[in-house]
Amino acid sequence: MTTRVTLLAAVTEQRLPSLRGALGVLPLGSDGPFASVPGTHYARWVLLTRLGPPLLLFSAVTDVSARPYLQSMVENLPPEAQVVWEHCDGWPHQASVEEKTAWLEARCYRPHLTFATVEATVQDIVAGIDARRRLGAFAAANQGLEPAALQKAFRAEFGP
Amino acid sequence: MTLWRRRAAIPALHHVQGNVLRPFGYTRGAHLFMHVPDARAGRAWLHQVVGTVTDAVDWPGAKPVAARNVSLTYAGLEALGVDPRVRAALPEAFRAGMAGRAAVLGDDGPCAPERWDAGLGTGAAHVLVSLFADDAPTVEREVDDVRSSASRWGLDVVVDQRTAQLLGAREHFGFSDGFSQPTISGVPSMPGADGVPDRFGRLRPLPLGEFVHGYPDIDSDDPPALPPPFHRNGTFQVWRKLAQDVDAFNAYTARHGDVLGLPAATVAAKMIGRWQDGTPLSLFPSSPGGEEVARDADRTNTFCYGDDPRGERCPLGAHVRRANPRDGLPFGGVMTARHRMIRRGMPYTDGDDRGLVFVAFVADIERQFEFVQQHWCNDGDAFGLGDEPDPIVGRNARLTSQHGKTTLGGAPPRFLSPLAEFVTTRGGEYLLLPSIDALWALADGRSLWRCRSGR
Repeated sequence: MTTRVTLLAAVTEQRLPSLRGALGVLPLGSDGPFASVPGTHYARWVLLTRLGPPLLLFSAVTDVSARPYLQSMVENLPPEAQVVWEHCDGWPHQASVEEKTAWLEARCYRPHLTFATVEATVQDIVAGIDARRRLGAFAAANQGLEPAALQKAFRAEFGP
Repeated sequence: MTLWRRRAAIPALHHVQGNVLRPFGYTRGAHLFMHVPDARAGRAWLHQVVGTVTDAVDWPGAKPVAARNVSLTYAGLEALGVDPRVRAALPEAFRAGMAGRAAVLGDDGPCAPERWDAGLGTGAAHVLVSLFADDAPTVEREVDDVRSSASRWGLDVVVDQRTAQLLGAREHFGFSDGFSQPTISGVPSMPGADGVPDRFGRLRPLPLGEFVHGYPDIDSDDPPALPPPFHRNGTFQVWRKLAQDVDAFNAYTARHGDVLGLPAATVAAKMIGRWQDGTPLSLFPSSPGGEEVARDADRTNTFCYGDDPRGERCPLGAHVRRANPRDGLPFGGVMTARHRMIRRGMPYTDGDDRGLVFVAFVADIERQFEFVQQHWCNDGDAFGLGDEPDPIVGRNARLTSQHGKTTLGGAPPRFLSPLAEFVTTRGGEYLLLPSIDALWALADGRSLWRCRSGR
């Protein structure tokens, strides 16, 4: 159901400090840049500097396949995150969305191991967490009720 | 997993500072954080003080009247002129300091570093001298001695925090404290210490390198070393001042006890995971184990959670179960083993301001202290509790939300909701507690490279 997207892009040594700075100022968690890219379960950038020439590793678990995801990323990442790609060698600054997507896709690799396997969409998971929270709040608010009253309250909250 | 196959290492006790591997056992303390005006003065002062630092060698007879530790913040290493290459090679969490890691620890709102006590989390605290004794006059004499030497070299005391054991070694909420210290391979075990359960339920000691640098740890016989002169026989010290709102805690347990039809003491015990006398809910789920059991440190600490997977005896989210889940997580005790801490905290009482000076010694701040606070106390996912925080020291958005709750277990389960904040972070620092010879190296201003061949 989910897709794993992994790509590696080269970075020149001279741009490393600036790239570190760009990565370092990105907000984390729900304020993170990938919150604005629909279908993202998980995404991260990792700077690889000890394995030879520096590389920027991007890996993600997504609801859609690689190409539409990469295109969505090009379209939806906020400017402060787009800057990260601009540090990569050969990034087509002035190109169209399609050309930038193709540039990213050309650097994709097929991963054999994945950080997390998720058999549900982001929407399903968010709905599941919300249901869990509602159920927990209901249980806490209605503890101690007799079974009939509890059932009535449950139906009132969650429907028949 | 090769956890249990690590060869036992023998610590060089005359190089390790005291109180780390075995507690000093004093009932009073003073923690003096000082600011170093310049490297030369700082090293001169340190040169004068190192000889008074207590090592870890067993005391042959009666214990001395007082004992001392010296540790340094990252800003302190900088102030003492430690080589930038050495400083850069130290772990990120230590370099950032506790205030810099506030987002990781959940220290926001009333716990935010901007609200901490003066002198903490600002970069002004460079050196910590911790003094211990059994009576107030001796502590005062020790403090005067340290203040006098500091003054001579121009060091300013920016924090002076006193601590004292309460009657019965309890903390301010009334609970016996200090249980569940890890047993360490190669170190004589203390009564009431526990190891980590293996897959057969036996408690096994932890490798020395989990707490002292330069020895085999859980992951490796030869773990990555800190740069010299800190590569061996030192440890990291987590120092955290936690204010406790005792009145609010008592009112909360009484109010919710009324709602649930439980005595306030039972509600409090379910939040903590032990009764006030220290006997664990896992062994005594209905009422305290009694004085005789409470006095037996081994009996109060020899238990597991693996046979209580639904939290029917001890709630899954109880404070002590979160802080040390024993075999309560998948794969037996393996997942717990990487996150143990040596704790040496002591209560403080400054008039109406009461709380705990939490002190922990760990080889890896991020993997041990921060992991426990972030993943086990501030979140409940590891225990199947969603985002429920620890009811005592947990911090997340749910804590103050009207839907925040703690699950007490039972059939049907009972809950405490909403939650309340009883514990507030009033400040803290990450410190490096170097070996005695590393302290000498710092005092001498010895270069990085001359220390490389150190012991």
